[in-house]
Amino acid sequence: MPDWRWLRRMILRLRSVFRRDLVERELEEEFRFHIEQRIEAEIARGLSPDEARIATHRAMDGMQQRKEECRDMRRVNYIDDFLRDLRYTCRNLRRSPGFTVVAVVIMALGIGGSTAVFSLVNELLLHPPGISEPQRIVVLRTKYDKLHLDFELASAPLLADARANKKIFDHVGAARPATVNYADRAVPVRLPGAAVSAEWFDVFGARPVLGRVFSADEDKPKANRVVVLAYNAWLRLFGGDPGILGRTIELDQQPYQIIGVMGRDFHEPHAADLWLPLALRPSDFAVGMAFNGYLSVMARMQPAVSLTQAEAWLHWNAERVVGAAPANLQAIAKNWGWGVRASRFTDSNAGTSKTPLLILLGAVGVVLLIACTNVAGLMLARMSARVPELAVRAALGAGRQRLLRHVLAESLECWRLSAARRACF
Amino acid sequence: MSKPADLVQGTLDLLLLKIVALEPLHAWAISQRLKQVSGEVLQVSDGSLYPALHKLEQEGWIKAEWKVTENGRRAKFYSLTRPGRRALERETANWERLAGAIFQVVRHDEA
Repeated sequence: MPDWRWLRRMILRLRSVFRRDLVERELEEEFRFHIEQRIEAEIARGLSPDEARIATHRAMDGMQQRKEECRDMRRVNYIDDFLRDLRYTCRNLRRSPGFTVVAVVIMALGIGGSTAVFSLVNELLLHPPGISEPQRIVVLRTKYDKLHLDFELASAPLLADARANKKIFDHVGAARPATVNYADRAVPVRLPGAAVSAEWFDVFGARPVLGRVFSADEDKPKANRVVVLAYNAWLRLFGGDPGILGRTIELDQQPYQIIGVMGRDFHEPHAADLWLPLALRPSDFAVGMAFNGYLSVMARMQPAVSLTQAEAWLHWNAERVVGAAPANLQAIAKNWGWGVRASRFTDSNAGTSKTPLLILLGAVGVVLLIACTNVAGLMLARMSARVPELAVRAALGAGRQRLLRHVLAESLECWRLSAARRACF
Repeated sequence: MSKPADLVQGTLDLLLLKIVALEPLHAWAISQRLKQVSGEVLQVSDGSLYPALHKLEQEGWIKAEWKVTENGRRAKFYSLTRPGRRALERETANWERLAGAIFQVVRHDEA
């Protein structure tokens, strides 16, 4: 049996907040009804009307206090009080503009700095735009331990092996830089682009806004005369023409048909203006090619797979490849400590700027902290000037909690102003 | 009238739930009914009746409805909700356990 108690409670709370006047009228009427009943009963017992009224009010033992207790039961007093505190605070801050301006500017600087750096960190390290679940994407890398080499390139056979292992990888894609000449206009331009395998976009979870991406059949030699445009390039070169699909353009003196336009934020690898099919040949997958790392290979791991698991498999696979290689290649691979590893896309995306970025983030964090300390000092000084006011409040029956909430509302208002100010910067 | 025995803390809720379980009543009638049923022993003061009822309403144990009394006045009638009935059963069991335990202790003392 479902318990609708929470729903009933929710409705009552909402009613108390948004139909406050109605709820108040009902409270009033309920009490009035009680008073009348009681007076009637007292008169019936033989009291005079005046005596009856006095007896009734005495029995209630403070009508206003009782009503206030009933209001407390609505559990929305916090909201009511809070709004009142805010209004009071606004008046108060307007009265002391000096304090307000200083506090707001200090906080705005602190908040502004930290949000600016955090958005940078967020964009580069945590959530690169246009890419879904970036923490699941890894870069497959080749290393030569004996030569202290480690680079973000891998071979076509590794691409095939990784693609075949669906337990570890959801999608595996490869890319190679492919800068092309585009000469449809008076002045030819060089467009930075990439030749990518059909699965490349799936790795990043990137979707076209227009048309489609490559099919597996188009990712083959001689079938690869199609192109996907980046959003920016589409705007820049074709004015965002929605009828662009199917048009043939000339790239490097070859006709390519435009089949899609990518989502606004996706530019992997590195600011690509367009993507062509990679179209690897069967010979690219020959055994000896395993040591020929020239592709940028990215993989999206299955949801439950960790980087360690992926690396363990890559290591195992590398040993298998070495074992199966011809003797001369095997010797070279062993001599130089050839191997394959993986790193997080988000780490390699930030490149060498990762550490400085984190240091910067720490620094602005400290700046924010200092700003907070300064404002706290200001608040403290102000507060001591307001001790009499607080004493009056306490004398009028404001509890410790109520006073705290009042002061908190003030700090909150200061913070809100600073946040608004920083949004204007 | 002498001052009525103070209600044991927490039993007011139980008594109110029990009384509205029988039929929907307005607050005044609830206080009268309580006095009457308990043989004038238990009496809730007018002051504490309303906060207690409002609390039960906000908890969702009882619900309120505006109805017209037999002498034509509009009044707020309280009745038990389904979760309120379960709460009543729980509270009753609790009370019986507690009362039984107290009774045992008291009797043990006298023996």
